[in-house]
Amino acid sequence: MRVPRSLLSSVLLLALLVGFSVVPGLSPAVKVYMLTAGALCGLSAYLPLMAGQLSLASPAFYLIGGYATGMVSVLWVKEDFDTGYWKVPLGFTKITFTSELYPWQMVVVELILGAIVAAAFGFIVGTIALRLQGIYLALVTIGAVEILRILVLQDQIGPFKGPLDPGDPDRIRHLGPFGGATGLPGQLRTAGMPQPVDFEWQYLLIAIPLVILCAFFVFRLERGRTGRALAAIREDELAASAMGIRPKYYKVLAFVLSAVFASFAGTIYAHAQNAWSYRQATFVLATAMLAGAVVGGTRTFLGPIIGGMLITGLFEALRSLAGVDGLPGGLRDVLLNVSPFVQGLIMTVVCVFLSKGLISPGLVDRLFPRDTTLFRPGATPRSADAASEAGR
Amino acid sequence: MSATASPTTGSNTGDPGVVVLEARNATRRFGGLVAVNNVSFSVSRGQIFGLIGPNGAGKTTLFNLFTGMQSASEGVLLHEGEEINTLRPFEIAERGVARTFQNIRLFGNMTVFDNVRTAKHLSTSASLLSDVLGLPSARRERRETLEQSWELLELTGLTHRAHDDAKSLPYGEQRRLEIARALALEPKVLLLDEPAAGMNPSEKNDLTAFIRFVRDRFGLTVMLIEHNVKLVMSVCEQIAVLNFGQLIAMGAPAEVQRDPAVIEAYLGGEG
Repeated sequence: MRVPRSLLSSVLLLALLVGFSVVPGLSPAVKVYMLTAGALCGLSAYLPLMAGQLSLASPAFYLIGGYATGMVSVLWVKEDFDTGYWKVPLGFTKITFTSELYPWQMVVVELILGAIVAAAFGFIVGTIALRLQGIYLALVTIGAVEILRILVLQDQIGPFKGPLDPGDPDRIRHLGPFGGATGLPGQLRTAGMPQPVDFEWQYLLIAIPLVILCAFFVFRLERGRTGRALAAIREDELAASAMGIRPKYYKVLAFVLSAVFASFAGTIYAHAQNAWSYRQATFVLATAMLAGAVVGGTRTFLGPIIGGMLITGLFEALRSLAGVDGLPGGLRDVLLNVSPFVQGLIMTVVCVFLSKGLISPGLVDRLFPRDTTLFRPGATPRSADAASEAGR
Repeated sequence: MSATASPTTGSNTGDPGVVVLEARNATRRFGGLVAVNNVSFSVSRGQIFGLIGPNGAGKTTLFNLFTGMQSASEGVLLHEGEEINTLRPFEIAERGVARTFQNIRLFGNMTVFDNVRTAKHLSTSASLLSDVLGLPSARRERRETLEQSWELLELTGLTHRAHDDAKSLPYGEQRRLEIARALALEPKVLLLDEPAAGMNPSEKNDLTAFIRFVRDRFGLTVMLIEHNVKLVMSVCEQIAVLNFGQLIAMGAPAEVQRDPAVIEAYLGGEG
């Protein structure tokens, strides 16, 4: 029996959505917030795939986005303890924000700075990756994540002297700008990251517009000249190149954009998470991002967004279920360790039964009709003109 | 093909004054095999130039040399008098040289329409940002691209297939789509690698007229590889014959047909 794909997809989506919404231990705002980060991660995994490149480098860019947040909000912007205002030192001058909340304008600065650094790193990884394809490319991208992760872990300057005294004004000297093994703010502040909002739900005021903006960007990209060039490279690189498409340019571009989206996810996640460290960039995260894109479907932008949200929801649901009081210890361990298992199971099921992912390009075409029928020649076929012209 | 050209189009021998493509002592080795051996010839503007020869004679390799897909081991390849040996395929395309592939290389999972539209890459220039923002310039360009793509599908008789995936087309239509896609580059030179392979006799007849038609309509220079002798003799104004990588004859169809070396190569004389 053939199950209609749309039915299967909707049932799966609905089940996961309902399941995630009844998960205890997380507020609805935090749940939605996690989903937005998942959506951005999905887009990040999707972009190299558009050009047929298998990249697992997204966690590296995600790490950069989070560190941009940490370094700006913890190391650069200072809280004036007398007034509670925030100061941004700029060389000989400084900007003061007369608000007791961490200024949201600085979150925008974090987004931009993180994106710039991540894009630069994406450019480097993408350029190196040009020489490789398939599994070799995937291995190099895993290497890129590991290199970055170990670098930020090892940045202790001077001997690390164990727990730092929060009152010691020199304590920053003991750790590098990445906070070494403890991350940011780590032991530099007793409290966590500065918070730009009073209430959790207000994070969504930043996150949701950002996701919509990114989704719109990728949607227009894939319907435009750049998207067609990427798809042509994925289909047949040599033929694409014979059509005047520069494969190297577009492959690197895909990496750079992938880096920017992952960096956005890192930035918006870091504040809510209250801390950031090398532990954020793991291989499991890399596979989860890729799994998200594959589960959702890699033929159109909506797939990775939905898939990214699904995988994130699944991870968090299993994790918070493990935190429910009164669970037998054995079951808790299973729940904590089961998410990679379930992720693998879902990927297998999707690859076998839904090899094109949950979201089909046809669905997106119905939601957002293509422009190809515009300007289609009307009742008087031009072939007649052409024939008579040729006969002249 | 929906276009039918009358025989009165006449045989245009091209403008002998302007050489568009030229090979000078072009040689390509693969290990010990010499696929193209010291071949020299030139194609004049506006010509329909045929490249024939038995299997393995080096015809496709020569095409690959002209389009930057392989590099010459020795010798020089020129386009409009400039050396193109070291150019990459997209740089050749940028110079206005388009090609089709013998072993069809369409973008299989894209629709027929998108195959053509994608090849409009060079004749459009909308940046990513102007595409995303939908700036007036990008919108105008999109409109032009859509119109021109429909026109090309109309011209190649593929309009009814526009929304099908390219890989779902029958062989003959895939060949036509290859031509439509190459024409979308708005080239000045068109290289056709066995355009009639897989076509039925009536399609082959149409193809003869169609090649002349696009040459005249777009002011092209056409170089084609073809096994179908009837088609080559009727459409080409100049023919070069390759055998085991060497140029063994060149001239008008009637001359080449009488050439003893050509007859020997095709009939396998004992020497």
